[in-house]
Amino acid sequence: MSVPVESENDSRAAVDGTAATPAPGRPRLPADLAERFGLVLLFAAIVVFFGVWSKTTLFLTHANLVAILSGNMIAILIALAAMLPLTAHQFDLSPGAIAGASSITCAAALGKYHQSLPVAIVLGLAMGVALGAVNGVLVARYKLSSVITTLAMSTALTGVMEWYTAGGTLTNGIPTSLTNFGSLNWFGIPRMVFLVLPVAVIIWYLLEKTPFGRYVRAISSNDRSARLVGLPVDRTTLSTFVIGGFLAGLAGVLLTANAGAADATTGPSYLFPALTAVFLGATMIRPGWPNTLGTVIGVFFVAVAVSGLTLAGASSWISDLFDGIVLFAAAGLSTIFARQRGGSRIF
Amino acid sequence: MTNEASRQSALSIRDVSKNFGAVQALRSVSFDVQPGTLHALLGGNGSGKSTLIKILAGVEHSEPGGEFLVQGRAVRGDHTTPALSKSAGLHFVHQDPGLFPQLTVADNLALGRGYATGPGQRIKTGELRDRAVELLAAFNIEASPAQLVAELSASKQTMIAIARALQDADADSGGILVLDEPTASLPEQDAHLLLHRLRALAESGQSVLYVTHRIDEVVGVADQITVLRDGAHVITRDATGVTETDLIGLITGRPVREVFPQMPEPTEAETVLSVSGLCAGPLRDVSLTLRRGEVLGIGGLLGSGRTTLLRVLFGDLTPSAGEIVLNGKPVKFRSPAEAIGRGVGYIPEDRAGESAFPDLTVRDNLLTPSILQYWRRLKMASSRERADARSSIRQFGIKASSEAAPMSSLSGGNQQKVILARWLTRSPALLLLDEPTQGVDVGARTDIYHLVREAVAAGTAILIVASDPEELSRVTDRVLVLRRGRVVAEVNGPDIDASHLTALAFAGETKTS
Repeated sequence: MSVPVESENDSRAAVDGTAATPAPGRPRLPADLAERFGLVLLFAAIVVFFGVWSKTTLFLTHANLVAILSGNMIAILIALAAMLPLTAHQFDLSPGAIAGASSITCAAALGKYHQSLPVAIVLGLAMGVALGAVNGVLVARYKLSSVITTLAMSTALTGVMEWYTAGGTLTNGIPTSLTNFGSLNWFGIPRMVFLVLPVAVIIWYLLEKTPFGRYVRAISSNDRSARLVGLPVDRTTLSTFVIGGFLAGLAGVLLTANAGAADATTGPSYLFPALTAVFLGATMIRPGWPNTLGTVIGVFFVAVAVSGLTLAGASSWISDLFDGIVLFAAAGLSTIFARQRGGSRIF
Repeated sequence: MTNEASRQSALSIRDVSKNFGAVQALRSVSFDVQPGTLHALLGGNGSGKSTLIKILAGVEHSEPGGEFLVQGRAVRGDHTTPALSKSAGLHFVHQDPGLFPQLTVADNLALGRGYATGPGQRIKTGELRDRAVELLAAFNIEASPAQLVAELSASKQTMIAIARALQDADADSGGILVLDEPTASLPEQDAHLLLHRLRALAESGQSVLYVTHRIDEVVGVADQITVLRDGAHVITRDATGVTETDLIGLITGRPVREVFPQMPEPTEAETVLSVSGLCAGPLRDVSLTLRRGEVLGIGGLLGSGRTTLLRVLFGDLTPSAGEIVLNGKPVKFRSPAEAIGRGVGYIPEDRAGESAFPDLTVRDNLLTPSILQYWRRLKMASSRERADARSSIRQFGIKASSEAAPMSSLSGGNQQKVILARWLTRSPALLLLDEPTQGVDVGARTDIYHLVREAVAAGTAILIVASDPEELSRVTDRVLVLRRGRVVAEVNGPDIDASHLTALAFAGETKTS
């Protein structure tokens, strides 16, 4: 091998000159902390504010807190369902409609086809997984736009649900064991919490502690680079839709359990608050990236604010207005955070 | 230079200089283009031909004092604008002709000058079509106005761009048509057709200046030739009687000596990679072998198929024919993941687009291909990840505030070292490098050369593509020169020098056949 001697010497000197790298460690600058936990603090401040404000004395009561908890377990599942594809930089606008379809599947299996409860639950979950897989195959395999694909899925599903329910509600044959799970408490805490909390922990673990989580962030950062370092880009993207579909399916089963009924409109109505929570979540904990803990806090952030404002006397329109304004702010902030880190991702 | 002489010329360039920082891209260049001639502007990489074209187009400004005269009308080189150069009668067709392939021929022509519209901004479709028919006839292009541009051959597309550029030229003077490397991306046959058409345009009285780096497109085609080298004007002369050997000498600045390849010296080391009869994209029947601990350079001009070769070897493109044998076993990679699994690494040319994760940490950028190695007992071994990232940062001399710093906070050279470290820490059997020092400062460049050498000493076989012949001559043991998808020459150790490689890239075909 002909090694050019002079260049060898040059470069060795240069390497020595730059070899002194800064001390290791994980710098935690105040600005960094403010970014990561700013909205968490704001959330705490809102809770405290409604707790002490004279107009909202009912806020920090057990009944109200249980109502907030039980009223948002399904929202958390749908928000996490929407979040998963977004971690790989794909939109999913269909988890609300998928939850609706699963809810109707579960109720119909019980009432119309007289299946046992376990079979009905499995069918509801399978519906969610199947619909998520259809989205995932179209986006990951056939490279269709995720926004359009999932919007089309959502719209078509809503149509099918309205046709199937004929605009009515399926209430027959839903056993009390299911409805009790959806509406009663254990130890003063809604029973649904005992299902949704572990699921959220599993999703957190999957995204923060496993190679899968690294894959989705790499794909989100630069999918071409991800392919060229050998990551399974298509399979990972498909997986986010399938897992999202499963979570939406689970949300659907809980919808039936919570209401003791299934209809075509309840599921889809969860979409917008879910997206709000995901974007709000992407402004904290891991700013610029959709993340599990942030999303869960995001759901409660909106719920607590709306609950407090309603107790203070605002009408039901406050919910939509608040969602809309928060979504603006959250999308803006998370994009700014992402750009600060040199990313070009736009949500 | 008398005024009369200037008035006769279609274009006179006078004392045009351009500095980029300390680098003199152009040094007081002066030459004339005679009316009604086909004038070729030749030069190697970095000769200043592109800079000159940009100044003519009004995209860059020259240093004060330079000027150019278009049919006697003076334009100051430090005050040019695109509009001024257009009104002076300079009509440009750039390397990417800027056509809209999904629109019709008539629309493409109209978008150059505006649509004829009636009341309510309605497009007069009849007029649109008539105008297109007229232009197609005037430029002798066989196409119908309603055809999509994408359906036309590459040479016809360039002709459409020429027609669009010249459609509002002054009827008497015609101005001057300037083409920047019009044939660079055309297949050989289309390139010949296009040159033939340019010849015809010149014979009908249109003055044409075209930039090229293909010598065979000059000899027997152009009327006049200007050669630039290192930013300076070398010669302007009649093309009659000029030979390819003369031109290579003028471009490289050295007499053409030993431009003949020698037989490779037999080496003991085992063969890591052997490729035979490979065809893919522009590649035609490419064969090569690479031994353990060897650096094989791939020279040749942009578009010669260099990057395609690397992408095929990495499983990112599927070859249409040929065999690849890696470590004694025939391989057919269907994805980069399979190639990586067999010990291949690839550093693409486009760092921002194809290798970096700008908003992830330096640590993630270093370890991404190896993530699964850190997955132990249902969790990521994050302290080991941090330790390994820190040791790579030290070992590869990467300047970063910490392993948790975002990749985008690093300089280009340090980002490239991160990418290099990403693969070298895996001790690949074969590493494919595409322009590894592009956009990298001199210090980092030296470091990168050094790291490549170290990897080789550890037994990695390296295939390196570089446009800079100086770079190839410094880091490689052997260089294959690609020209239009074929290997046209092989140069060994002692014969590798920069001007020699430049000559081969331009003329390899004629010298080896």
